[in-house]
Amino acid sequence: MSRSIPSVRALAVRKRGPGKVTLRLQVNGEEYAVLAEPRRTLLDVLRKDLGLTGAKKVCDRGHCGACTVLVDGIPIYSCLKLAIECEGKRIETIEGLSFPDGLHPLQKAFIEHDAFQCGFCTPGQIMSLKALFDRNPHPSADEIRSAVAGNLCRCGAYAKILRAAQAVSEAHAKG
Amino acid sequence: MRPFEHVDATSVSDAIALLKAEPDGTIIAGGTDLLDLMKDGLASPRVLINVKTIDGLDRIEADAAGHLIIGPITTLARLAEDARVRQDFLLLSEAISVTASPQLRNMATVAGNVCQRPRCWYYRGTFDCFLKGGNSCLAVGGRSRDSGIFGAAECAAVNPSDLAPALLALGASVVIENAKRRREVPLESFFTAPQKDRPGFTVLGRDEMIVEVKVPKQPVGSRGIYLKAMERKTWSFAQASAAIQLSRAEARVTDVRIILGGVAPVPWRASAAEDVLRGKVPTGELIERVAATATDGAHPLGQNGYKVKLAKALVKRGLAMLVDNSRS
Amino acid sequence: MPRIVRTKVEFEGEVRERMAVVEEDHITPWGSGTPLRIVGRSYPRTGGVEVVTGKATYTADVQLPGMLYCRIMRSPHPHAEIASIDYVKAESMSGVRAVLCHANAPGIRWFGDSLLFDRILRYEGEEVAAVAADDEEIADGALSLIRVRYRELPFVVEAEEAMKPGAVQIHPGGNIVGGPDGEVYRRGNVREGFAKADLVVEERYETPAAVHNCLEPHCCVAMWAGDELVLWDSTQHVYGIRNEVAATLGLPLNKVRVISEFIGGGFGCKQGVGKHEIIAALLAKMTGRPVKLALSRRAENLAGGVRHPTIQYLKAGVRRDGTLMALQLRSIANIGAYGMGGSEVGGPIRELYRCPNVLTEQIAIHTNLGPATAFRAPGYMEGMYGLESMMDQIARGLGIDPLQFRLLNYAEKDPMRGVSYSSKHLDKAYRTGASIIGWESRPGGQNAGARRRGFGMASQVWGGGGGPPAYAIVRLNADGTADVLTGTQDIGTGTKTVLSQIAAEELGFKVEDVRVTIGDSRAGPYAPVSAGSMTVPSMGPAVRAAARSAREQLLNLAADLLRVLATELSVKEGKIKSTARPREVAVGEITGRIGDFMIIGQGARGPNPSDAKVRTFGAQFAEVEVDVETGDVTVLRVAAVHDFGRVINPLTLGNQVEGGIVQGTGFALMEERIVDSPTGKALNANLEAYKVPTMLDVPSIESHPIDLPDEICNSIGAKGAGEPPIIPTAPAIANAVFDATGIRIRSLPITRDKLLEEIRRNAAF
Ligand SMILES: Cc1cc2nc3c(=O)[nH]c(=O)nc-3n(C[C@H](O)[C@H](O)[C@H](O)COP(=O)(O)OP(=O)(O)OC[C@H]3O[C@@H](n4cnc5c(N)ncnc54)[C@H](O)[C@@H]3O)c2cc1C
Ligand code: SF4
Ligand code: FES
Ligand code: FES
Repeated sequence: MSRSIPSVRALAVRKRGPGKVTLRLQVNGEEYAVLAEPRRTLLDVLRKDLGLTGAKKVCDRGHCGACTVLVDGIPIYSCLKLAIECEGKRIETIEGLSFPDGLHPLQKAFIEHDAFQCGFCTPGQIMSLKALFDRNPHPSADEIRSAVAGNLCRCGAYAKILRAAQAVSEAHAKG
Repeated sequence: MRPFEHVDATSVSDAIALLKAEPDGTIIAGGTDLLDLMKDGLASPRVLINVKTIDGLDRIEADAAGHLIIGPITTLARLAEDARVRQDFLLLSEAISVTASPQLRNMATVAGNVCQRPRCWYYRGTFDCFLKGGNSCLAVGGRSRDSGIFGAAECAAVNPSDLAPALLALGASVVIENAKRRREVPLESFFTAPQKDRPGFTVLGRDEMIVEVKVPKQPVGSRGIYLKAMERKTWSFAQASAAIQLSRAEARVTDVRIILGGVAPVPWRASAAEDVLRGKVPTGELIERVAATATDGAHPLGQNGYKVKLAKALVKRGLAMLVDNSRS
Repeated sequence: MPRIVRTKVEFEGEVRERMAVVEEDHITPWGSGTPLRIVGRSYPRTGGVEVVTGKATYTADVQLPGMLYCRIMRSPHPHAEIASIDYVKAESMSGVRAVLCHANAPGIRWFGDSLLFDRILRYEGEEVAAVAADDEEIADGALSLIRVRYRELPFVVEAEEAMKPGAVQIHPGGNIVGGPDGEVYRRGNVREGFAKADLVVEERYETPAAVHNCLEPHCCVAMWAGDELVLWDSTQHVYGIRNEVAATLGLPLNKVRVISEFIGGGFGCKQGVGKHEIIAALLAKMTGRPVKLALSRRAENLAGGVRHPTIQYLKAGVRRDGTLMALQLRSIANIGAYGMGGSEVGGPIRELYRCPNVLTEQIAIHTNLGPATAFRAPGYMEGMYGLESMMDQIARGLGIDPLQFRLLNYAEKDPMRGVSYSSKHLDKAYRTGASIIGWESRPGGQNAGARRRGFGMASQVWGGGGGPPAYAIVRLNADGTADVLTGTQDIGTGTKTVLSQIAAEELGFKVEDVRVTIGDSRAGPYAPVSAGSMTVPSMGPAVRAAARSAREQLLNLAADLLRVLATELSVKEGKIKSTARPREVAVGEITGRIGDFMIIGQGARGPNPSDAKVRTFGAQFAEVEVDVETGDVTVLRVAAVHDFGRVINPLTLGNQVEGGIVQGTGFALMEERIVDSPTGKALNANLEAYKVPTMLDVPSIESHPIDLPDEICNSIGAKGAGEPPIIPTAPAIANAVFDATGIRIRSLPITRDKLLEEIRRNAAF
């Protein structure tokens, strides 16, 4: 399928695909080798190839936020990211969040303050907030709101999401 | 999404050579618009040329003259947070702060943003409108709530970018390279109305690449503001927006640029309104006049008449806030 | 001994008579004086850990070895006939395992005379073909190889067009469901009523098609194990799906198992079977492999169901003193090509106020659009917008405070049947809400400047009484823990948590010692659909009855073993106490003594009271800011006071109320499916152009449930809370917008373009 054009062959670039290629990905601190086409999104690789189904596919278009994961610590929509472009990067998903000694404070606060109903948006919400708290352990209410402005919750659990995140922020403020 | 080959370019010349060699090749930057189009079958490149692997293309720096130089793959989020930008080009940060969502701002690049394709729902949907090779524009006589009120020739779609009006208000330009040459194009002539077979909004050739965005140094004390109206409070394209950069000496306006977003196929420069203000002391009454002039020449369609009132309101409010010093 | 009784059960505004098999014993309801330890307290959700760690398995997450993915090809036209279809290329593509379309699918009847795969396509998005392949990309590729020639047919998408004589017929029976005046309700004589009125107002209101857009799309995985079908399904009713799938495929009921452990939202659109479940089951049969079918977001918007848009012609007559004399409604619901019928748009008009003369005509119209389905408080939400906008307008016209006007026409008894309510505290809700928002001290609305504040209010009435049939089983284990089994499901409302509280309360166990198993038609007995706000009032009493039976058996056993009278014994915190002896015995000590012999309690929901009307009530008050230059509307605050009877879990209940208000805010300000009339195709079938509220769109919400047990409605004193909170939000906001601006938008959503246009037309500001 790959056509060779002399001027391109001369370039020091590597074309991959369109068939399956081996992708090396680092997810939640572990190395994986996945055989996938270049058109596979990070979301599909996580869900289908790695069985990490915490990130959800809702719109597949950057319209909802349920697929939010962190790449090098930054929240992105994994449905609009090609997996092939994530090689060599640090990928964090909700599955990697739980602490060895239990739950992340955000996870605890989400349970305690009932920050979800159906829970389908929850992994995405928590990942967006995790990135915020990593940068700023004591965010204000407005900073919290802005951090999840790209995560829809159709059940409308927003007030409780805010409450949960504020509780974590306040706990940090107290030390 | 059709299968494609993927290439990590390592230099600008690689990328440009690839673009030339692969007639079906396309640059992928953040991918937030391109992948969306590909999933809908509105774009189906056979080769994706990833330019994020090119060193140095994400720089934000000042040149000797104090102009801001922005690398094309700089993400919107990084640009907005940059200390120099916040200091001297706050308008950019403001425009970005109301662009899309945090995750999209983390992914979207400056060059990708100014090259994004129209959001017209006929274009994005399964309709054969003019822009997709059909006979006519369906928005003009149809659901035109989001369409433009200015400058529509054959296609009434608006340029959806928030960054573009802000860059224009600052007098920015883009540096474009192809296999033969490098040229600097002021943004004002970079944007064009979309045309059949060229659904983008720019003069960029398909084998060309944006390698830099240049923002000239602004006069001391010059200040800007970006106001945007959308369907909900965030994560939406502009129904109308106003990017205003105002310079004053004593009380008088020495220079002003007023650019409207979401109302025309290009970021719309309200030159007549600027002329009313330039050289004058901006009183409340004058600002009203400027705002009234800002939509001169508007031709609303069946459902977007509200944009006329809205654009005026944004200009009036933006100027009042700048003059009031209530904003930095 | 169980016996059979007749009882009335209200579901989404409609009353149906049902036969109910009930336990003989009447259970004394938990009254306001009953000391309760667990019910009434906030408990975090069971299943929370799975949700926050991403380990909860939703149907969308089910992956089975050898599983195939199914993708659907959908009609690009609003009305067309398939002239020919060629799928040979698709079928022979590598990785494709099966293709289904009208040419090869079994002739399964679907809606009226139409088939599962019909030659006639009646809306954009209707199923044309399905492909099962090794992966989604392959399936998509195969779809693009299917060649279909369509013969396009004339179409109609506007309800009032479809009603005209000579309009395009969508089904042989015509476009109007039922008679030309639809469903008619009459009391008194409206003509006389209007004649006696001092002021008669007539208005036209419109509500949009709102799309549920549950984040988890309609989705299922079908797997055959021999001649048995196992179906993982994102559904609001595992038993209903079992029954419908079995009937459609001609299977015995005990050979279909439906599993739905975690559900990513329902809101009404996942109540019944859809084509996707049947298609997945057929493809799984054809290929001998499990098949997963998830609707794309676009398909979800085109074919997943919508709240039907309505047009409402409402007329009201009042006396100068504020007495309502007559109300008349003619509502037209656009139910799309396959909607089952209209919902109860006239409900609020019939039953909210004491009004002697009422006429409602509810008309449902077929058009070439995707099917309408129930959506959270169907009908009532739409009707309440019209009615409460009208009440606000009339009150202002008469110079009476809108709240006072409502109190003047307060219905002490059910205006429809004249019977008493099992309980009604709407007056208290009005007063509490008014005091939270500061109704009395609100500024007069005539504020100047660009940004104007306004206050508005609206009422809520809805069923939520639930009823039989609903069953539960409680099993006690040897170690003193309990299992509750029932065939209900938790669509995000906290059902599991609430049921564990009720069981623990009645058993006298600790909550953590009670485990609730639901969401599997094979694991528990029949439970109703999680809709109509009926889960808690139906399932709660059933679980309580089962727990009570188990407790009685436990105490009888303990009495035997401890040689005391059972009547001297009680259970608390997992310990058995005797009034005669000081020593407490842990439950496990007793159950441990009988080893693997098991105490099994069975419970059923009893009949509804025959002489009282069971309703939920409430009021919401909104404060908004409207920028009359830019058309920005900001909802600042909403005070919500609802009466759902007893509150079982304040934490999860609060979440329901807030969520309802968020969706209600969306309905008021932004949500609307937009159809291009000339082409009959949807323009915003995605979550970018179809706007739903974000974190930044939500008001600050103060919710104060009344929390007084309804001692007549059922044995737990609680009514449903799923739907009521969404009902009054939109009219409260619309009335507040009017208060701020003097402009009344009679067509939802209240968008910037409408508001600015109206301001321009009135040359206001
Ligand atoms: C839900 C949603 C909401 C949004 N809201 C907003 C909003 O409010 N305001 C707004 O401004 N935008 C908004 N956007 C658009 C978003 O900002 C753009 O998608 C993004 O900026 C594109 O950048 P990218 O780097 O992802 O571009 P890509 O998708 O990678 O590329 C876009 C186009 O630019 C071309 N391109 C990229 N880099 C270069 C280069 N260096 N030289 C030449 N061509 C190049 C590509 O070939 C492609 O044709 C929204 C998008 C979504 C999905
Ligand atoms: S505005 Fe442009 S993109 Fe939209 S329908 Fe008209 S021609 Fe097509
Ligand atoms: S699935 Fe990625 S944003 Fe919706
Ligand atoms: S909890 Fe259901 S979408 Fe957020």
